Amino acid sequence: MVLLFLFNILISGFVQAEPLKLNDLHLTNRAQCAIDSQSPSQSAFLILDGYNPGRLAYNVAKSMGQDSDLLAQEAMLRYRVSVAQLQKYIIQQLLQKKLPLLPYSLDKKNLPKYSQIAENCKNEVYCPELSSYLTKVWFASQKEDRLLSLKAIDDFSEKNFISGRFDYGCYLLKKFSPLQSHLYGPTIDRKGLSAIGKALSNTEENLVECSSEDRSIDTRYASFQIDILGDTKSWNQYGFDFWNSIKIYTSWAWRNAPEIKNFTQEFQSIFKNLDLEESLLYVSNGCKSLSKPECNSDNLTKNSIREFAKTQVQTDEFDQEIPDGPQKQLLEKGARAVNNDFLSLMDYDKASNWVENFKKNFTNTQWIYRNRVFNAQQNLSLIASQFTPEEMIAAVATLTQRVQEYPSLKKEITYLCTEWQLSANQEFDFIYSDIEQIQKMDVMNQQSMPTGLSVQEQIEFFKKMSRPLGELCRELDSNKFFPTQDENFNYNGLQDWAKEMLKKTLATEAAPEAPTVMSEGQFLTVGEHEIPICVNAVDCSRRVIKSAIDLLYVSSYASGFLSKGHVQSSEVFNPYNELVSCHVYDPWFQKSRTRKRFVADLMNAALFGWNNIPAYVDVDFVPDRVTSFQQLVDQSVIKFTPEAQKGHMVYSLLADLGPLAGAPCAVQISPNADKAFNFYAFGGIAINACTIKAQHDVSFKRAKNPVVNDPKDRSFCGGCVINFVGVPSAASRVQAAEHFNPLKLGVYIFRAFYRFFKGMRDNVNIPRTYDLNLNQIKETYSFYGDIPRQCVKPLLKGETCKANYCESIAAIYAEKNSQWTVKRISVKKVKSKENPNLLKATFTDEECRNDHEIFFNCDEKNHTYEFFETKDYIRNKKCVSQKNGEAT
Amino acid sequence: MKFLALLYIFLLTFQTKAIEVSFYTEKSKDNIYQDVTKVTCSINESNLCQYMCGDKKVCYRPELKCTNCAGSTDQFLRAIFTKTEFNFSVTQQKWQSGYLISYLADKYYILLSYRSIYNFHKIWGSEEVAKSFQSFCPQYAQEQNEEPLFIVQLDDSDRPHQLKAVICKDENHQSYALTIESKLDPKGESQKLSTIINQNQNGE
Repeated sequence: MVLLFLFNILISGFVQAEPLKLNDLHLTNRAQCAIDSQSPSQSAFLILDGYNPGRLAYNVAKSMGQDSDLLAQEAMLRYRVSVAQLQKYIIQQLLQKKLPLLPYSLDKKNLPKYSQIAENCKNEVYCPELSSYLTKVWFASQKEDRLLSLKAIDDFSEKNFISGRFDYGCYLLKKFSPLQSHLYGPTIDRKGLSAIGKALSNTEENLVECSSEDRSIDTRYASFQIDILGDTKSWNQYGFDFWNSIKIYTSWAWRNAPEIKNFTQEFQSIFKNLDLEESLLYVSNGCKSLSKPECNSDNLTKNSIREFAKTQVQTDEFDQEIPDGPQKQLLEKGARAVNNDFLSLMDYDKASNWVENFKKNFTNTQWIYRNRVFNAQQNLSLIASQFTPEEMIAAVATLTQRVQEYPSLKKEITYLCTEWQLSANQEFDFIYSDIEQIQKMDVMNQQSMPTGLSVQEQIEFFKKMSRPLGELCRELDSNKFFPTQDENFNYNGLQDWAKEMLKKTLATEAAPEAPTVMSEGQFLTVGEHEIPICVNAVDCSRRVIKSAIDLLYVSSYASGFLSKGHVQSSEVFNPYNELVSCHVYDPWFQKSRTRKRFVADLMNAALFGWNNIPAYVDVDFVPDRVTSFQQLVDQSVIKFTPEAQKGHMVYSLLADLGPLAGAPCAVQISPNADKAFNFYAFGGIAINACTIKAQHDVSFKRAKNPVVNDPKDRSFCGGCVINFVGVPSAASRVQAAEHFNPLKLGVYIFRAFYRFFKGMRDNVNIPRTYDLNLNQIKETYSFYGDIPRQCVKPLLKGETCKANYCESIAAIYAEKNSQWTVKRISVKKVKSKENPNLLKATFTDEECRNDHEIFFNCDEKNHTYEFFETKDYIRNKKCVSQKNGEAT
Repeated sequence: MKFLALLYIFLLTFQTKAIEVSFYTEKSKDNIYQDVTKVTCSINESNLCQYMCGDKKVCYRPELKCTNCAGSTDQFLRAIFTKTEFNFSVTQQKWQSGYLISYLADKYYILLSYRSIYNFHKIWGSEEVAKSFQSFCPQYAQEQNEEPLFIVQLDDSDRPHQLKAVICKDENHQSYALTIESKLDPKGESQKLSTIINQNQNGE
């Protein structure tokens, strides 16, 4: 049976009338990803959660007695469409040089008025000053003489606009697909390219234009992909300012721009009241960044929300009473794999399902943070509205005299003083300076409510209370008030945070001990119904401390969870953003290490390779190792300065016994235990042994800051090996009697080059990149019906594939209709009277020793073909295994 | 001009007036969803409505922009919807009708009822919030199941800033406002609203 396969392809299968506007896929390994993280991205996802508009519409419908579910669906759809339309509008205005860029760096030289206002307003766009400034800029930018109008507002010039030609694409993702292959692996094979080609041929399965009103796509959770197309070098000048501008203009325009009414339509009046920033998040699509990476609390905490994008949150950091903070997490996790779909995008059938998981994880934790701020504010404000700190401690002091009457009070006072020691004792300073630091943090001060104490005042109250409390506790201690060790005192009544600080040696699951109720009744109640706040004065004081701890808890990640003012961004796909900016990972280290070792190996060859001196100085290089961070509040943000063990050269002295004793053996003595014994460089039959003498010191700057000093280790290693290096080295004994030893020299030089090329082949730590041109992949896929094997290399280089058409068609046909993988193929003309165009393709499978043949017609010029083999015919061909020669 | 306006308001405040304030959500003639405050003045008090909107009988005021009110991050709205009694208390300081009208006409505020569209913090229309809000009005209003309205002042950024008053209704369905105070403001004699039992002197 003859299968007729007529094909005529050049431009086919592409349904969308508009060409797809997506950037090339930039595949990178770890080192390149780390380098890229310092550059601005040309692609971003905008994650959207439609809960707020949905809930708002639900409330509206209930108020009006309408169908609440129906209106909620309508509102969520309108919200998705409006956000997309606004994005497109702002991007167009920026790229068409109508709207000026707002610089991310508040440098007074560039737009001095803007810098001053943005600094005063902490970048909150609803701050009246900034809002008014943006209003003027927005309207001035719509005038014909925009530069002149803008100059009247601030020091605007041509350099505040994007120059160069840029275009953009905006898409609503139906699912994550091979069109995001750069997130799934550092390289790609033929199958991967083929999957991209297929995805490009059926784009409507994966994405639609971003303002699509397609109701079949989830209306609550959405992910947009925004790509800026244009020259990367030019983009590097504007990128960070561009994304900063997008975030600020989006927040402002949603509430104030007249154009928004056309987008939000019947919801225009109520949508402007939406908490937009709560439901939007920009995420960089790949390794490059949306905001300039810096080693500060803002950047680190925003990026720490990466954990919530994982299917399962893999850290207990957010469950701790006193989190370690993002800087410690950074050190703990260190360098890690990247671009391996670690956020499990491909596990979800729909992009909206991934967004849903992300947002749910994120929102749950966000609520914990909000609750803690709220409760701290309520407790501290209520207590402070009734007592001064001194009055509070005076009340505690009187209770110390009533322990005979109420024995349980002694326990409570002991707990209070222990909690004071941990939180407020400035001598030990376990966490006191961290609590003090909260006052200086903008993001925390923004959490203050219009009523009650501000965050600053709350901390001040805690500090004021801690002084007399400390005096009282010291006095009680000197009066032997507290239980001694012999009394076997049970500390289970401590608050959870204190137990955690004491390294959880106590039973945390113990039921909380109720405070002692005094005969006079509750110490502090509120309202007509006398809602109790504190049972007694000790209880009140402990609540003050607990509230301060809650604020400390919140401050660790406040920028990530509670940030206000404009839409936020996070580099969830690239942990190297912060690993590089905090100097934990150096993407150039491996390359420079390999080069330096190469030079050292050549010097060894020059010094010892030609003679009989059995010495060899093996050198290696250790990178800087960050052990901790200094914290400094600078411009209301905590900046982290890494404290590192300096990178250094490690060396060992080797005695190469081969040329002396004739045995392929060497001994190594090294002052650094981490210096590996690898003299022979190659694998082989080996016997190695080392002894290590180690000495590690830990010193303390403060109670909370242990510093691990440089280890003072020594190692002594010896080993023999039979391989390409060891044996010739030993054999060179023959020449030992003479002064010049060419065999040894050859071995040394060979080993130097071998180690150099081996080092440079490191696919993880030596930067590697592949830029896949989507148009070329699409054309190749359309042209051949798949990606031919010969096209993989050129496509990985971003080049056009010019593979032989008939060969490629035959190989693809063979692979599609059998389980084999074509290794080699050749096409020859067959003499036939009936069919003068008959061709024979002979191909070899990767697994088989024997060749297979297919007969077909093919016209190289017109790109038509016709196969005469059935699928069964190819499948049934026998394969003679290359290994054992058996037919299968 | 400003002086005349102030004088007018001053005169209004010393007249015993009766007005009705109500609040609802609608789809306007322009097909737009919006919240509206409606103030109805009886014939005797037509000057109040005339001051507010130029009409003698009834005034309609679409709700102003309220930054971030439709969301769950505003901690002040959260305090109102979840812990009203905990955070605020009503005083017996009654606003004159003229003052109420001038406030409603000239100030930046939103009105909140237990059925507000900004209730993102509890179930919409929940009895718990209704009872909590009603407790700010006198017993009569509570028994009649009237719907009190909170006047929440907005700040320069259009964010909820202060709970100014509660609008209750009397037996004749006429509206009046009572001042509300925060319990969380710093210590002061007038703020001592909590019950404190002095334990400093061994219960004496």
